[in-house]
Amino acid sequence: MKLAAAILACALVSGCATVTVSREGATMVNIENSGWYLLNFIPIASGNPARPNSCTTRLFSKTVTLENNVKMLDKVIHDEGAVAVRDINSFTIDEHVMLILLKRHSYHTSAQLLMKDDLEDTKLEGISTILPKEF
Amino acid sequence: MNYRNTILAIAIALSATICLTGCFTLDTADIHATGEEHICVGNSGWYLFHFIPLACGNASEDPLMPWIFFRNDVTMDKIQHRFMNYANFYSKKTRDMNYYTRESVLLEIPGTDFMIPIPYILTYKEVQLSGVLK
Repeated sequence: MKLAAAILACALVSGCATVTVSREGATMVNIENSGWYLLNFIPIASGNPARPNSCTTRLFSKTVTLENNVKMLDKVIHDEGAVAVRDINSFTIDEHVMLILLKRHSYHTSAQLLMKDDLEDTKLEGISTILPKEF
Repeated sequence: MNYRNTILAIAIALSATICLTGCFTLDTADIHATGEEHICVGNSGWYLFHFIPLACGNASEDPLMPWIFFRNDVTMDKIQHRFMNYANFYSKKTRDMNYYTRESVLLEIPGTDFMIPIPYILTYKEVQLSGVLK
């Protein structure tokens, strides 16, 4: 019983922010941030967008937002050295546990990053070129 | 004792309403790397026999309540209307528009694994539209 309670407690403070980049043929980035809410609105724990892919969790703060996902996307764009980005897409998923006692809320964002070589094969329509850093 | 039970019943009913009635959301975020804006609009609701709207998020421009009963606001038209209104208000062009829809047609008590194997009695529907404004 104590073990089950400990596992549940760990699960509830295990919000997670992950950034995955696939370079198989094209550079695709997938970003996910999830968190747990009490009574639908009170944030218990959520992923730390400042340190994705690490075991850090933000307690009692609402970090599962589109804004945070886009910030992580901005960082990946610069880290990967992309010159353009296209097909940016986001959606959310809510899962309820015991009616409204607990809710798991997750925000997903994906996009394709275009490198300098990719641009030669691609029409410039429908893509977003990266601004210089001073912007 | 009755007084406590009444308060408990009201609290449960209110909580269940909030949980079950769905929600309209319009999230925006600036993409600093490209100077563009990413937007995600979504709405969800519950239906009786798959067609009769029971309750959903209110997609009106100036809603009195965040929820609306017996009106179907979980449609591509209404969500896209809000999306395009937002884009037009800021005189921006739209791009990368993608729909995400989810339907649950088996009667399931939210938060439990209990499911009645007769579909289309009480159904849940969710529509989201994301895009980029330039």
